[in-house]
Amino acid sequence: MNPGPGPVPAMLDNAPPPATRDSLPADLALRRRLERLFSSNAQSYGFEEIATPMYERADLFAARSGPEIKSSLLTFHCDHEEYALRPEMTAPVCRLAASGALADLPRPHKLFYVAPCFRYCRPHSGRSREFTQAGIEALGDPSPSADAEVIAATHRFLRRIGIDGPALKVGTAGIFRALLPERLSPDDRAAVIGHLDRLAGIGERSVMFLDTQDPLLAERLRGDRRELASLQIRSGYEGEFAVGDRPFLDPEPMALGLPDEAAATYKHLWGVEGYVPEDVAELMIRTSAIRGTLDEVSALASETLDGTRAERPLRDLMDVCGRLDHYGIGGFEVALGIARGLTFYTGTVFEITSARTKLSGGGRYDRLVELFGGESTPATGCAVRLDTLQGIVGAGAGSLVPEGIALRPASPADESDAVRLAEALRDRGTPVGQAGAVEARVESGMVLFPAGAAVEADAEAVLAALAGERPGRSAARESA
Amino acid sequence: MNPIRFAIPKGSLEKKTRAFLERAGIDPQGYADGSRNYRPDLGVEGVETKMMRPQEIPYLLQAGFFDLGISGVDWYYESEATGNVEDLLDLGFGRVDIVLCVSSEWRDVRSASDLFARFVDSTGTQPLRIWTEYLNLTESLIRQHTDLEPALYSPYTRLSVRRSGASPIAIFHSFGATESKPPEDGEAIVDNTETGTTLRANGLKIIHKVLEGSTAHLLANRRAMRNRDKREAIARVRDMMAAAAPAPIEEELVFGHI
Repeated sequence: MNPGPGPVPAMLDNAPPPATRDSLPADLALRRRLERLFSSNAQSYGFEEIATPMYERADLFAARSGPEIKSSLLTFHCDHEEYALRPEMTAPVCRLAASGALADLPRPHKLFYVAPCFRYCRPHSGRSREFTQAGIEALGDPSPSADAEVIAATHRFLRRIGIDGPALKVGTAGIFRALLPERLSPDDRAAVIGHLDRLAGIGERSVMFLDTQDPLLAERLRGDRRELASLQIRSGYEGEFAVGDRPFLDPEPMALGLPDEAAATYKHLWGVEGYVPEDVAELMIRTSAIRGTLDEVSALASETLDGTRAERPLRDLMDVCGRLDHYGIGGFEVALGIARGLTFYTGTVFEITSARTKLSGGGRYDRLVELFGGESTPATGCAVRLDTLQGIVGAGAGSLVPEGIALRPASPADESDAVRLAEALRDRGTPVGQAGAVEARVESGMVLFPAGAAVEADAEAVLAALAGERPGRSAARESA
Repeated sequence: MNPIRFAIPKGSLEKKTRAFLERAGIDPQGYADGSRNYRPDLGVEGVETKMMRPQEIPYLLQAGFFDLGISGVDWYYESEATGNVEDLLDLGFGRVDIVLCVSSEWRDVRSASDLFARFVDSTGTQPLRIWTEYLNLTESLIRQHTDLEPALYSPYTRLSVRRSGASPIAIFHSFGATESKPPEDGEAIVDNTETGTTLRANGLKIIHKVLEGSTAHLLANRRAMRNRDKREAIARVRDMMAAAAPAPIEEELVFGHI
């Protein structure tokens, strides 16, 4: 229905395509620095880099996340086949694993990637259609230690690039999966997990709204409520929490009442659809509200889930949390109803935020490789978006001082000295000729620095003089 | 250069439109509650604005009396204006569902098919009376479910080719308070609703959604969009509105880890 951008005034023709941007040298220097830090950090945990094609068959992404995902893809046709620029990397990695290409390599497969990805978004949404995703995936290791390592590696990376106190939240999709009746089809299972996710999201947003009074959040909550009203109408809900009977004009009472409305709606819906018996529904909703420190959650959760099939995934989660302590990561939140907006996770899930911005998300997805036709492969992983990180880190990064030196021959006769010297400096790893660098004059076999120093046109002598020219430079030099 | 003519809603969408324009950085002079002025000034170059009823705006755009307008998607479809009117932008506000309702006491009627099945075999002496402001949407709904030609009861039917007459299904042209017509004066209604509160209070239940999530949209006459000068003014307004429109309403799909 929406025709997209439509006619554009001629004067804007030189702008990059909607929701994309050009990167200038300073942007790119920062991004490459983050990429290098991400890679070296992943390598220090034994992950190895892989790459997959920039585009895949469009079905690859729809297969896992449902057809509605297609509206978020940038697609094109070639040889009568529909392709999509990749919107993320986990699906391509699983396709790669399912293809058997990793079969002869030693297990577990510890892989990392730094990959431009693409998603459609509306032109003025403030989001970007092109971004770089960097992530790690450990395939073939079912143990909680693999989950802990993925979390720890990401946490360390974020600390290392200067994120102040990244806030970690850990949960598990395994508890709900274990509580759901076995007879449920995969689609119904996904539906209920999706509902639980919505429920947690609504709870989170309402708490956040009551805290911040952010009008945009109020708008979101109104949207949540309309969706609930629609579900109630469809499922014939007529109980105490019928949205139509509760005309809240002010956002505050609306936000306060919304979690109960949501819980009642989904519980009713599960009953009508025959997904979940009432006692299990009650238990799942109670469980999804459990959150707090490890100690708080540990006691309450074992009591709530005692004697159920969810004991095992709960134990795994507690195991992961215990291991985080070995890595020196403490003070994190455990939330059993963690909202990750996804249905493909099977076990421990986590997200890391800073000042309410989501920096990283990940978790265990033991079924995905199998779903793509490969052999059953336990797997866990996570990713960050470098554009998000760049926005946060960039603000405090300061300007980048050009390294190296620029050489100007004083006359045509000095040209050969200047070129020979430049080549010798490059051999020693010093960049020559960057605009804005220290500019020295080459004259009659001598190099004259702007501050007055003069040395012979010899690489070592110039380097020594350059270090003197810029005291403190080595401290500013990037450690990576 | 002639300014483009821009129709903005008077009445039900008025307040929300004003709030939206302010979010878009437009300060509408003279578009205030209870103002008798119908020609507010948006302060956008090359754009002349007039307040019209939202029901009228799509067909006025269709006919070319206006170049640009804001109205609900419900009236865009009801006016059958999609041929010559382009849907430029979902503004996200004024969300309603257009629904088919019957008395909540009709327990065995749970869908549109249930309802029509009850009446298709009747002779027309006791027809299914559906009250609505949305005559065309209701007719389409009937055609999608039955082979019947509905009768139409309206003060205006004498003007058109189609006449009211004997049929098992009759559409009654409502001029408001549609929810009050059943049970004694009608069996069903097609009406808009935000939360269903009013419908419930009148003993009605929703059995079918004719149009789900109709919101206010920015609409434009297609001929105007082919005109070079008008196109630029239209793009200017669209860009201002796009900045205020969608982000909080549309949820970003999360897939992959992040």
